Amino acid sequence: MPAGRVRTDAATRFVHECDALMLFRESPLAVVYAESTAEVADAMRVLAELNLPVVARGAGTGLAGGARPCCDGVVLELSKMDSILDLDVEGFSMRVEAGVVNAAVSAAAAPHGLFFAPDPSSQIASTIGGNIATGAGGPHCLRYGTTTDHVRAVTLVDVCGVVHEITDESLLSLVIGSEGTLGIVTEAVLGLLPIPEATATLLLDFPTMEEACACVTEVLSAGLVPAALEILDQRAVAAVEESLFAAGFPRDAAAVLLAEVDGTAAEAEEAARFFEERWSARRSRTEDERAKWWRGRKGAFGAMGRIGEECYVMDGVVPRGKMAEAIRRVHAAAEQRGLPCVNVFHAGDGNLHPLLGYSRDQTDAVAAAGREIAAICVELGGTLTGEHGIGVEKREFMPLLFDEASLAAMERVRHAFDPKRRLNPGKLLPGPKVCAEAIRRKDAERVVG
Amino acid sequence: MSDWRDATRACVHCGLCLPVCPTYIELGEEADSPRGRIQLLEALLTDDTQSALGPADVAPHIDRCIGCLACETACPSGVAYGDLLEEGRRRLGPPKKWTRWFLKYLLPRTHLVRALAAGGRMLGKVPRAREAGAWPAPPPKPRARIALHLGCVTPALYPHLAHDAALVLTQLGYAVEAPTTQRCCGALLRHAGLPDESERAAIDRLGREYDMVVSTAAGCSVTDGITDVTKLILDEIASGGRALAGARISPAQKVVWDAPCHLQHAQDIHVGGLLENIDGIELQELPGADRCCGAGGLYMAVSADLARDVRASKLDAIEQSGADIVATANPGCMFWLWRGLRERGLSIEVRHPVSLIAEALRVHQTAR
Amino acid sequence: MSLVDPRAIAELQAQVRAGADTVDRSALDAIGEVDDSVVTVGAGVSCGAVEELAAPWLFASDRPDSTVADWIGCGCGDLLWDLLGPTRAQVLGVRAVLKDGSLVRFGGRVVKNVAGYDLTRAFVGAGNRLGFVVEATLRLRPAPRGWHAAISRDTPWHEARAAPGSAVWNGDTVLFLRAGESAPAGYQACDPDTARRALRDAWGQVRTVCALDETGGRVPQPGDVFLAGVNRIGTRAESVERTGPLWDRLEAALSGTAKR
Repeated sequence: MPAGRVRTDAATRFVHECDALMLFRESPLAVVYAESTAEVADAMRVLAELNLPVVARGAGTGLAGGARPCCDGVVLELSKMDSILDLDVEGFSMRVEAGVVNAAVSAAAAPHGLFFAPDPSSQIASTIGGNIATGAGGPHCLRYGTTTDHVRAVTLVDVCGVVHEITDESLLSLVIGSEGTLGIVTEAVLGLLPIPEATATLLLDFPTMEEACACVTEVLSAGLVPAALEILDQRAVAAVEESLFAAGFPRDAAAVLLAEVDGTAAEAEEAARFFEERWSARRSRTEDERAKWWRGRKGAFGAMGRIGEECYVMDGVVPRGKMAEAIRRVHAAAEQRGLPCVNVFHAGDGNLHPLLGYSRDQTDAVAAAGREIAAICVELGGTLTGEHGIGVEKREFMPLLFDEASLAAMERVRHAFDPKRRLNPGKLLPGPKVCAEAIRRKDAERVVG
Repeated sequence: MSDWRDATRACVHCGLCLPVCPTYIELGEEADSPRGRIQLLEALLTDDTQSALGPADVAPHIDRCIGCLACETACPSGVAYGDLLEEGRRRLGPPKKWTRWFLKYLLPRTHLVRALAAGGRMLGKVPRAREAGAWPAPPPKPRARIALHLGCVTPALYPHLAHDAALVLTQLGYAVEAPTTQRCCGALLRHAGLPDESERAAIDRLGREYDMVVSTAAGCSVTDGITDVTKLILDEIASGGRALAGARISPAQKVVWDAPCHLQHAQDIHVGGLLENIDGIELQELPGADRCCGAGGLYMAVSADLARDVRASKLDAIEQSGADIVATANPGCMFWLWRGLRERGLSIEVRHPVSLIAEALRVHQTAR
Repeated sequence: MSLVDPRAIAELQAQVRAGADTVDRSALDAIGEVDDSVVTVGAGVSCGAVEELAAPWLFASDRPDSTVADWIGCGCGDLLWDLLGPTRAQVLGVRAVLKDGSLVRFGGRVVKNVAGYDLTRAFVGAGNRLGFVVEATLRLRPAPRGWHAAISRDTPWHEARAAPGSAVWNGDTVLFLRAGESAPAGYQACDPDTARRALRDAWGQVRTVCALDETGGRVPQPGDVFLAGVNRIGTRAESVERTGPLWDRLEAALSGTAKR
């Protein structure tokens, strides 16, 4: 590999100790900056010879610790692989490198009347590689689906450094959301959609969270599939309004619901009217106002720096009809441990994002609350994660959701792709703490010399 | 200044600062992103003997920060990055040895700076001097007395700028003087981690003698006690004042506005609309106008290579815009863009908005 | 938590352990209740039965007589793709007997789920190669507030496919179908059954799998059904040929034949 690609300096290693989940940190042995698929393949071959674990990283915005290195492992940085390789307007697709930022895809497609539907709140920073690794969603996946619905092909470098082009839909489904445990995705062909002719954004407020959640069920039962249905609770609104992303959300409501409807002009108008007539929703009057509302929603996680010294963002899904109950129980779980809890979530999908504020001496309490919240979601018929991934955060919760035989099957799949468990070890599936393996530590020492 | 600990505590690692950071855009490396630097500074500043990081590990990444503060604008948590940066630089000291000499010895000696600039001008390395109009007589009933803060390099690089500012401010109803007793504002020293209390005191003294201290340099007006000249013009427009009515540039010019970081990010002043109010200025949007040009005060000399790389995309955008004039409101940025444009063989002019307005007023006054 | 008769599953497991390549899943005929637009059914239930049960929510397959198991194995989607998404987007979870006889459950009953590998979707379109689906949890969509159809004799296929909705092209005529309350310009409100039957008849002619305009994609032929808006010619293949080293790894891993 060209000189300068491998970094072992203290500063570079230090800033790669964690991603956006600060609860877990681990120092990598080295950071490798790859600038092409060929370089990733080279790096993987070298790492295979050295028997070192490796985790790929893009912008490090993951909230489940998916990009946290394994100690004595290598971080493979793909952030410099940020080229758009091909835009096929006729074929509604774009080929990009893994380090391309999500928002850059839609920005490049927009002049041709197209957009990339998955829009995680981190979209201005997070990369396509990371979106694929976690199966990222976003507010608009209510109508359009998540990353897995919009990737047509990926280039995957396997653990031995062999490059595979995957178009098979079963394999695509498997790789998307596999959190870098089956290979390193270096390029992807993304499907694009035509930008809807019209979009209307509406702001609704409710005196209780129950009513806000009931609204979601009512909308969907009425045959409408809005592009997005997002709820912010009162504390979330307060935090947003105090931040630079102040959006003019009503601070006295128990819950604020942000709805977006799109389609042809007639469809959007009709759907918007439905909200206006049924709940006296306020429609955004200008593009500025609409943008401001969305900035407020998407900046909500960042604004939580104002809630507590540290902030822990959770991700869980429950059936839509159980949302209000889930939120009540989540609040109780947090409050009994003295942790402030805020909720900003994708209500149309039942995808909750409880945010817990904590101070550095409360990490045990926050971990316990996290476990209880995960258990609540599973108990109500939901799942551990809707879009952030399992990462290091929830791997030990997996047995709550899957029986032994199912976990064993997943384990076999992982083993088939990575027999020595060097691809992002310590993530996704429960298991022994890889970092404690003495053999690997010895290998590491041999490399550093 | 708030406690630096508040800044590191408020950071939730969301990463929304990455896409706006000019050095991260250029290098794509976490250690040269705001989030990375916050972690490094925290490790540096925390008195923790266990920390594996020493000043030598942290310094290169802090030195590479231009200090544009775009990350503060992007940060949803309100991290006061600028405060943290200054604290870190105080601990680390100036990036290169000569910067201390430059800042402490050379800059306060304005006659030397002027002589150097004159030399540079002969070699074509400094823009030609524009004709400075006469210093305007104060209005009969001034609304306030202004001390025009000239700054250290501005009079050497752009000697006409003070006169242009005086003309515009007089038109707005202020009595403008340029006191000879003034000193440097100290901003460059602070940014280099060499805060100087005597500079601070000098500004305070000036502030007591006059109603207001005003500067044409966004880099200076970040200093407490100094108001940016563009702010006064914007206030006038916002209040519906007619002082600039009839001002007109002739012949009409295509202008793009490039926002200095120290106006938009550090002071939340947005100037674009100001130029729209002048007849004869066809204001066009400059893609990436909110991005740093790489000048960063001394940065362009200390980290010249990276500064050039950052500037390149800015020059591309200016070139593609087809503009006659690029307007910006900080002498450092003006100089840095001018150099870049000339190196590319482009004749696009670089002007301060105050100069454009002064020119428009002169045309208007001559016409009357 | 089992909807289908555990004894039927146990019997199926025994058959698979004994090396059966095909299994009879007709006994897996349990049907759950529609709850929050989701329903769980045994793999032996017919798609038509699910469609009836789903009302007023919408479930659609292009072949009501086929069992849910075959529909998943085929992965061929429906003409209402634009409304429903592809088959894999309609299957939220599966229980399956793997080739080693073990009973597993992947996915769940919520619409967003990234916990663990997405093996649910891997089963879609994979025939029986990864195992035998015994139970599936299906996502239903809100029934549209109206149906509209338009027939055009002058719209070339490449223009037609840019329209939202579904469309059939038979060489010179394009039939468009749109769901929604208000009629787009040029569209007539129609009886959904009539319109869909027309589409379905044409759809039945399609035999190949192809996405338009991608490298290797074929030139559209008269009679093609294309799913406008999503830019795909629908799939109708009974089983997709799956080969390659990664596929082999996946198949071997799930069948329990991979070396540990």
